[in-house]
This record gives sequence, structure tokens and C-alpha cells, in this order.
Amino acid sequence: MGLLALALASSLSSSGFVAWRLENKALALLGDVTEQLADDSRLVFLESEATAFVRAARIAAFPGVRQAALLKPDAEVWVSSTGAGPWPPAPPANRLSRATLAHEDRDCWYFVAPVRTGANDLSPLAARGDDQLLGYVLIGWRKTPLSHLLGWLFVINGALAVALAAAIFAALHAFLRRLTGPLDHLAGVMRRMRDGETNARVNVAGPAETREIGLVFNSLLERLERNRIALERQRALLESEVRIRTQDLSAARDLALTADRHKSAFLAAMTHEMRTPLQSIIGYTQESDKQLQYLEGDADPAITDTLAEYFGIVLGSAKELLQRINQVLELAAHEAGRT
Amino acid sequence: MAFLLVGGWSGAVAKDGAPRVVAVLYPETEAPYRQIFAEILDGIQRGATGETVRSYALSEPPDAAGLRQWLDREKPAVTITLGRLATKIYETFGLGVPHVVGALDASPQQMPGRAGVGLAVDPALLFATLKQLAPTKRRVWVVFDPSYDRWLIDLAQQAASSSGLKLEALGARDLRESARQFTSVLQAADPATDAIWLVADARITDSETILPLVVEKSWQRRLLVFSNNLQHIKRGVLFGLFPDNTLLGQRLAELAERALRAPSAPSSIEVLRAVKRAINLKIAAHLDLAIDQALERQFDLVLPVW
Repeated sequence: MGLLALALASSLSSSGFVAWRLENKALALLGDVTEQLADDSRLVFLESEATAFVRAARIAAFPGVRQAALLKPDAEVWVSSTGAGPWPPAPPANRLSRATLAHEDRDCWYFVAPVRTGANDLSPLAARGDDQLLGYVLIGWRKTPLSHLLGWLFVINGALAVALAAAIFAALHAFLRRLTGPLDHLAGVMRRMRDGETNARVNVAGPAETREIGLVFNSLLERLERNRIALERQRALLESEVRIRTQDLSAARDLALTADRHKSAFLAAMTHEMRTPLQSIIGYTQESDKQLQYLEGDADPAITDTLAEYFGIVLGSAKELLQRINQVLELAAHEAGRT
Repeated sequence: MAFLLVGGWSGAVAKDGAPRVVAVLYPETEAPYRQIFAEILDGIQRGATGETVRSYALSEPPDAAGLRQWLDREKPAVTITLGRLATKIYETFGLGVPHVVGALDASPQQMPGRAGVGLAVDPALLFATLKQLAPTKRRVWVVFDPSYDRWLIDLAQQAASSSGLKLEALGARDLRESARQFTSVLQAADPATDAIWLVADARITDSETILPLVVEKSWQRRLLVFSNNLQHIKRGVLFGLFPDNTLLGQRLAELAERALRAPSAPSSIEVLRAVKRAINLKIAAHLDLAIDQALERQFDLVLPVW
């Protein structure tokens, strides 16, 4: 929009200047033509009013002329063309030397030119050098042709300005696209990489600086990719080592568990096997003690008392040993999953 | 107009018989007038055999100081002015030496007592040529300004009578009256017996208005028109007499010498008798005039038929 506004403003100003120059040129030209028509009307001023009327009508038929009149030397209207409108004020009283713009209204420029004889080709041999004023020719020139021309000038200049603005915009757009396209592509590649893509690469194109950026970026990506592959390999290696270690540990554990089970089974079996004779010891000890009690009074009390004491110590130790064995058995049962 | 403030100057006249200076003032102009003035100057040089001729070309506008210095140096005994500008300057300076006017369509009515030669051709010469070319003509029409050419018409009346012609002279004070008079003449003139004479006065016989009117109507009515302006011949007048510039210069030199000899003798601007003759054969053919070779050779300038 800024570009369009600038182009239109430039077009308006240039068109205005050209229109001003054109109007000045047109006015000068109309002055010249008026003067020429006045020069060609000399003889008419010496002839009858009817001839003058015909002359005024002929001038009025000239392209661009709306109305024409021949004035007497005192600036009074002598004859007017048919259909002539109101005439502007009379030309200045002082004698005009050449055609002059006497008046201007909305539709017409009114030029007045003096009609003289003798002044143009005055010979140096002529004794009487003064010219004779025969009258004036007053012509109302239409503004319409110039207005149309200026209108077209503005339209064509405006259209050219718009076309030029569009062309500049397109060229600028293409240039910026060429400049920013590779950067957008680079940003896209970065986003894809951010999202996890690893094999994305920048298409190296556009201006030299952008191509350099692309090349450096691609080089970085290549390096990153190489590092990633190396890491992958390292990780795989580590994993395989962990797996091997884990297998080793598992085997060791299994071995330990097996040994433990064997130990528990051994303990369970051994304690079971130990408790049975111990039960027999306890049972027989208790039975012996009972038997001893039956002997009381029959046997020497010292012996029986010592035996009783001895039987008590054996029974107590046997029961303590049984308690220890039961504890081991309970532990083994616990390790074996039993309570 | 600085020269208006310059005082009068009185030229010295040699008392010891030494050559006196004849000053010639003429305008600095372009062709074709430059050639005309050069030929007149040449004629003056040839005519003023016993005197020293000095010429001064006047620029436009004139250099009054330069002219003053030139006059102080040359101290002319008599001055010949050629053309309007030189004559006007002479009058403005008020030189106290005899004055001879040349190369100017001067009228003795406007310049009484002034010696010189005008551009108005002697009517007797014009009528003689008319009778030579068209012996059947009996009447000559002329439109003139009485305030300017009455003297010429008086001469013409005498010349016409001598030539067996009747002169119908119609007065006109300005161009409008001239046009009216010419219009009536062109209607009233009888092509069989009448001819029309165009005088040299440009105010009456204007080349832009009157001449085209006369040439067109006379062509239509086959009227004989003659003039003493060479340009008129080229534009459609049958014949005319125009100055023989060299002879005119010699005549001016004679008048200057006469003025030196008798400064107080009465003088007047005289008609032009040093002339050449020109004829337009196209017009002659249109008027059915028989111009044989012998007659044609008597003319100095012949415009062919085509």
C-alpha cells in the first residue's frame, strides 16, 4: 500500500507538472494561432460587414473555437459568429502588440489579437513607418480538448504508476522470497529436527550468504549425526555388556540359591537326623531317671543322688541341645520356605 | 535617444578648392537592402568625382556617440542620407550642412525644400511603357493619399495628357478608404481601355491587403495593372519600373554637388527617372498582350511565363 501510495503521489505530482507545462504551451500555441488568424483577416477588415461575418463564422468553425468576433479599432464588437455567447470585457485600451489572453471563464479562453498592416515588412526605404490598426480578432477557445487531454494524461500516468508499483512489488516480493525462502526452509528443517527428525537437510540455494549458512548448518547436522551414531553404538555395546554381566550374576545367584537350598536341606536333614537320637537320649534319660526314682530306698542314696544329678544334667543339656537343633531346623525350614 | 541631446554640428566647407567630404549615411541592413544601398553608394562614388565620399553605416539603434565622432573627424560639406533611418537621424542631429535625400519614398509635400530623389517613378515613364505594351489603353486609374502624393498626381495628370491618357485619381486617407476605392475601381474599370496604377505609398497600396485584392480581382477581370515596385511585379502586376540604383546614386551625387555649389538655391524631392523596367510575361499572356522578342529585350527584368 505504501508503495502504491508513493507511486500514485509521484504520478499525481508529475502529471500536475506536465499538465501545467502543457497548458502553458497550449496557451502560447493558441496565442500564435489567434495571431495567425488575425493576420489572415487583414483584408476582411477592409471589406464589407457581410464578408467580415463570413470570416467570423469561418474562424468559429476552426477546430477548438467556440465563438469568434471581429472588433473595431475602438474594441467595439463589429461582427460575431453565429450563436456566439456573451463576450468578455473589451481588450485593454492600450494597443496590443500581439495576441493576448484577455479573459478566461470556466469553458473558454478568450484571446484577442490586433490586426495591423504595414508593421511586419516595413521597408527601410519607406518614409512612412507607422502601421495602421484595423481592429481586433477575438476568439473564444474551448477548454474541453485540453481538459480531455489532461484527463487522459492523469489516467494514463495513474495506470502506469499502478502498473509500475505492481511490477516493483512483484520484483521486491520475488527478491525477498529469494532472500527469505532459504531462511524459511532452514527454520523448517530446524523445526523438523526439533520434532525428532534426524535425517533432515537444508537445500542449499539462494544468495551466497544463505548458501553459506545452509552449508554450515548441513555440516553441523552431519557432525551431529555422526556423534549420534557413535553414541548409539556405544549404548549398544554397553547394553550387551550389561546383559552379559546380568547373565553372569544371574548364574551366580542361581548357584548361590542352589547352594543355600542344599545347605538348608542339609541342615533340615541333619537336624532332623540329630533330633531323633536326641529324643531317644532325652526319652531314655527321663526313663532312667524314673527308674532311679523307683530305686530310691533300695540303693545307696549317695549313688542314686549322684545319678539323679547326673541324669538331670544330661536331660538339661539334651533339652538345650534339642532347643538349639529346633532353632536350626526352624531356620532351615524358614529358608526353605517353610515356617 | 542619447543623440537627441547632442548639439548641432556645422561642417566645414573648403575655401581653397580642396576636395570636400560628401558624407553618406545609410542603415546597416540585411539582404536584399544591403545590396541596394551598396549599389547606390557605388553610384555616388562614381558621380561625386571631384569630392571625397565617406560613408557611415548606422546600426539599429544608432550609436550617436560614434556618429558624432565620425562627423567631427570627417567634417562633411554635404550629407546624403539613404533610407528612413538615416534621414531621421539627420533631422534629429540638425546638421548644418546641405542635405540630399535618397532611397526613400519621400514626398515633397512632407519634406518641402529638401533636395533629393524619391522612389516615385516619373509618371511619364510609366505611361510611356504602358502605351508601348498596351496602346489601346485610354484611361488610368490610381488611388492615392492627397496629403502625400498630390504632387505626383499633378505630374501624372500632365504626363497622362501628353500620352493621350485620362487619369482617374481617387483619394484615400487610409487603408480602409483605399480598399473601398480599389474595390470600386476594380468593378468600374473597363478591361479593354483601362489600366490601374499602383503608387509606391505603402499606406495606400499595402502589400498584405490591397495588393492581393487587386491582383486577384484584376486577374479575374483581365485588367492591366502596373506599378513602380519590383515586388508587385513578382506577385502579379504586368509591369513596373524600379530604381537603377547605380544611376540613382549618381543622380544623388549630382544633387549633392549642386547643393554645394548653390546651397541656397530652391530644391525639391524629384521623381525617380533612373529606372529599370520589369515585365511579368505570365500576366502579359493572360491579358493577351503581344510581347515580341525585341520588346522583351527592352526590359531589364523579365519574369517568365511559368
